Amino acid sequence: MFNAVLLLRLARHDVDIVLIGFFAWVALLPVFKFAWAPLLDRFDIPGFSSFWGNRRGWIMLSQLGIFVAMVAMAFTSNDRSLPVTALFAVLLAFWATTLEVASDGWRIELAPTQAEQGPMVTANLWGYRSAMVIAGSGAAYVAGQLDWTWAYLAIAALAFLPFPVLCAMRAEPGRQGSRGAALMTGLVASGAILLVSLLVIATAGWILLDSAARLGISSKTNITPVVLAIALLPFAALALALPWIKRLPADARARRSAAIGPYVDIFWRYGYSVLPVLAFAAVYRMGDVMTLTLSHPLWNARGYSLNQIAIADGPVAILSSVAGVALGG
Amino acid sequence: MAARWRLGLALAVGAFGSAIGNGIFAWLWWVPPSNLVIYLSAGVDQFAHGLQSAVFVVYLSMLVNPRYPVAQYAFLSGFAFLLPRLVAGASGAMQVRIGYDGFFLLAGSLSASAVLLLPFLANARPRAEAA
Repeated sequence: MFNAVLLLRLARHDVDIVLIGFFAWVALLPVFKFAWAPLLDRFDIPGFSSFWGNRRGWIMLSQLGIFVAMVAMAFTSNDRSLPVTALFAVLLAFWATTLEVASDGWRIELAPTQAEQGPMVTANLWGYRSAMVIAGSGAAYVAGQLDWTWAYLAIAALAFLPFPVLCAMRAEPGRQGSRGAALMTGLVASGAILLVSLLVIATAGWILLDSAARLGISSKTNITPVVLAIALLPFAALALALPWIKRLPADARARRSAAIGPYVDIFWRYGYSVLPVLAFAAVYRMGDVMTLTLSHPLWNARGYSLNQIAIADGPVAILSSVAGVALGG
Repeated sequence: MAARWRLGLALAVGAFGSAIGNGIFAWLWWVPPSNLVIYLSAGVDQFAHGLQSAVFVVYLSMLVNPRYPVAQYAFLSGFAFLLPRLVAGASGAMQVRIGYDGFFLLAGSLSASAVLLLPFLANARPRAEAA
């Protein structure tokens, strides 16, 4: 979500354009979200979930994670150490993705049919797109007036706003207990979970960078095909297993497994017609994502000022995307 | 649109809109900078992609099994961004080679080409739960 801003910041700090392309790969994290999405169905967040339910519990935890990551980014925004910049960028991407996973689940459960889903998606995307735009242009604007630290602190504060609103919401039907106690337990548990997630990301990142260095991979090496292959593996494996999956009985163990069951189920239900569906999904959003990566560098290179970019990216973008989403949903 | 129209039609409109939204940035690169140019192109881009993403999210949401909405939607939407994100990762290198205008024209033709797959999507229907 904040990747475009990060890319603009790196460009302003005269980081080489090929290196900036690598930072765009932080945005690859969400394609691996299937790896941890089943956790959300499996586990509740201590405290939060016992009062607000599973989905909202995960949403609240993710919001705390986003807030912490953004504050950390605010105080490391001079890009003096690119590994530290990368660490917090990944932490932010992880919790932003988890937030998305949890709220998508919540949305689909609240409105299960096409006619109901239309308006629901519109409302959801209105919020999402304008948040993205406000964060993006707001950051560029504040950075133009003050500096990047204040820009990140301002977005962190904005991103935190929904948290108290969620806290004030009614309890999930059938759940009882004290709101205050649930909140306290949830905050303590969240602190612990966030610390663990930071350590896991730091360790994984360190191992990854270390082995990359051992293998002689530097920022000059083109590792796109490798990353592509790794990310595609689970999808390819499922597609190859399709003839076998299709013949599974409805109650097969592979379909009921907590980790892979949901994914086997997609291929089981749609059979071979899942292949054009996946191909379509892969191509459909190409234009939007590509534009998102290079629109800021484009404006920058064409000589537009930070303030012009902020207006194009702010009021102009909000109004037109609100209209587009309304027509689409 | 996604709530009232047949989804296939809505998806096709979204694809062509997206192509226009990309192409306009190539135009921005060609003409001299002015307020009108940057605000108009940002507006068209956001309008088209807002429309396209709304249609697409409704489409994906209808594909999931209500038994596993969280995991299946994560799987499909994650996959939907896999290739685009990889291409985007190489965007810096691509821009150096074919220029900003070439890059945005390429992005536009890719999103428009998605309509070629639409006829095949009509056959995708979930099978019943009974064994």
